[in-house]
Amino acid sequence: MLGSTNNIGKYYVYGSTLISAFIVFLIFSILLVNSWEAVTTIGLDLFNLNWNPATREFGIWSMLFGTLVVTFIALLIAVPLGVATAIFTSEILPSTYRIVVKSLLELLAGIPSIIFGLIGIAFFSIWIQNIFDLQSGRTILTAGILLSIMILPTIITLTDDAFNNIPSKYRETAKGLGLYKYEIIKEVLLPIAKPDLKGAILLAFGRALGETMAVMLVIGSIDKIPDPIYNWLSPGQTITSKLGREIAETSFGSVHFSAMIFMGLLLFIIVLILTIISQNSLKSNGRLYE
Amino acid sequence: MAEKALKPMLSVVEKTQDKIIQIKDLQIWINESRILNNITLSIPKNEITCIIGPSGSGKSTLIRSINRINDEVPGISTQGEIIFNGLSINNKNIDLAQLRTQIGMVFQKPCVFPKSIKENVLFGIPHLKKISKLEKFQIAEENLKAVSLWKEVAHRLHDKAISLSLGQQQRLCIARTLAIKPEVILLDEPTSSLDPISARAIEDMMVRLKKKYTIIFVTHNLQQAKRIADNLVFICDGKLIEQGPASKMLSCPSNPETKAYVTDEYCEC
Repeated sequence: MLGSTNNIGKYYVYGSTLISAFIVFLIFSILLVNSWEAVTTIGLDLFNLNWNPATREFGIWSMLFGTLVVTFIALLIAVPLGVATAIFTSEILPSTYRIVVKSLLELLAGIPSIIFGLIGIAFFSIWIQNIFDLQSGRTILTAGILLSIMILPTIITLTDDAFNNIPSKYRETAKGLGLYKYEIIKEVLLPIAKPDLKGAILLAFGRALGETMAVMLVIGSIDKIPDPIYNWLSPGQTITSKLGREIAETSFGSVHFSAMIFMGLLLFIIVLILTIISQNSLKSNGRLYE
Repeated sequence: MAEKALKPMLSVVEKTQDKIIQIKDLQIWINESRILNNITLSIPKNEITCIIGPSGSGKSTLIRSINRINDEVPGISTQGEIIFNGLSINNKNIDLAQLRTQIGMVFQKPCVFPKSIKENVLFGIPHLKKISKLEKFQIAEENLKAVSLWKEVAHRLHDKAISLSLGQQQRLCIARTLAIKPEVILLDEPTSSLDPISARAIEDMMVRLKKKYTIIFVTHNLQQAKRIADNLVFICDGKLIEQGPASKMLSCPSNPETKAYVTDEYCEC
């Protein structure tokens, strides 16, 4: 190959990477610039409880709370379920069936989130309404459960990969020492897969934080922290659902608009931090694979 | 009266013929290919039995079927019978984990768990939580001494086991197997990935350990077999060619194929 063609290839690859990196930087700076007005005019009152554009109150606390609680519920359900499923597919299921079962489970990831939202609003929230005898089934809990199903494939796939990456010599050695299967999983495989598991959970965490459509449809969209705060059977609001519902009603350049962008910035930063941590733990060294 | 006098004599006779493992007509297939073909042999107690043969002859498959660790290989099917201490281990209802605590195994490549040296030695011991700290220390000391590793690691028992050299790791693996107090130890080419000095250390250890354990040792290194074996089993192309005391098989093998292998490490079967 000629040196010149090599250079073209090199700059093409460099350039592509630079463009992607530049877009991330651009988004970040746009969010930062546009939220500046809210930060300067409202300041710390942004973290108040009340959100009422008419009285110029822009407290995002209830949205932040909603986001964290919904995500927490989703992880609480999806992590044990997902890890157990992955243990089943990777360690117990014979390898011929593994691919079939795994790809069926991964189909879950391909379902558009609006479909989850529609099912959630048409059936699932009604069930919740009937089961708990509520006025409306659109609650924080409904959103959390729906979200847990949506992040399940992420957890299953990454955990399954984590187990599959463990060399079989560990299983064999443990078997040779007279350990039962569940002991091997608990004493050998889980500790070795732990860094990968952590990465999987953090990645799912990030996805759950950012999910909008399905959550928006079933959460009830009330900007209030439930009373008492553990009453998750009451409607709430997440940052994403708030943005989805209200951003079109604001006028560009207003404080209202700026406060909305500020929420977006906050979400962006949280997801960014999670991604960085999860990537660090996914590639973490100190691993003993050869 | 005569019976009484006979009894000790009989027990002596029995002892010399004490076969801890007997394999009868063992055949193993993986999918369509036959890996082992009508293997019948017996393993005497408290001696070192070396299984020799060219690579691909089925040595590993044979030793791995003795503690049934081959069970989960896809497409494997086993015929015949393996009797351990008078019990057939091919019984479906047998508790495999229990069996493997009686027939321990050390693999070709040292495999330490990502834990400390001490935790590795204690790893296979059941109900570890119920054992006191002092006892754990004693178990670790006893077994590490048995593999001559104690002096090297006594001051750093809490270090990661992965920090040891490969030779030390393999000895640690043997200590870990000794700690579960097996009767039989299966070693599948345990020295093939080690340096010659580590390999010799393990050989010497085997000779010491045979007082307490029955050792089955797979090797493709004929010199090694000559140094340590009490009995030899020669396998070629899935067939048992010859078995017997090492001294006899090395000096005057009855089978011409054995003779070719023992003298020239050449095999045509």
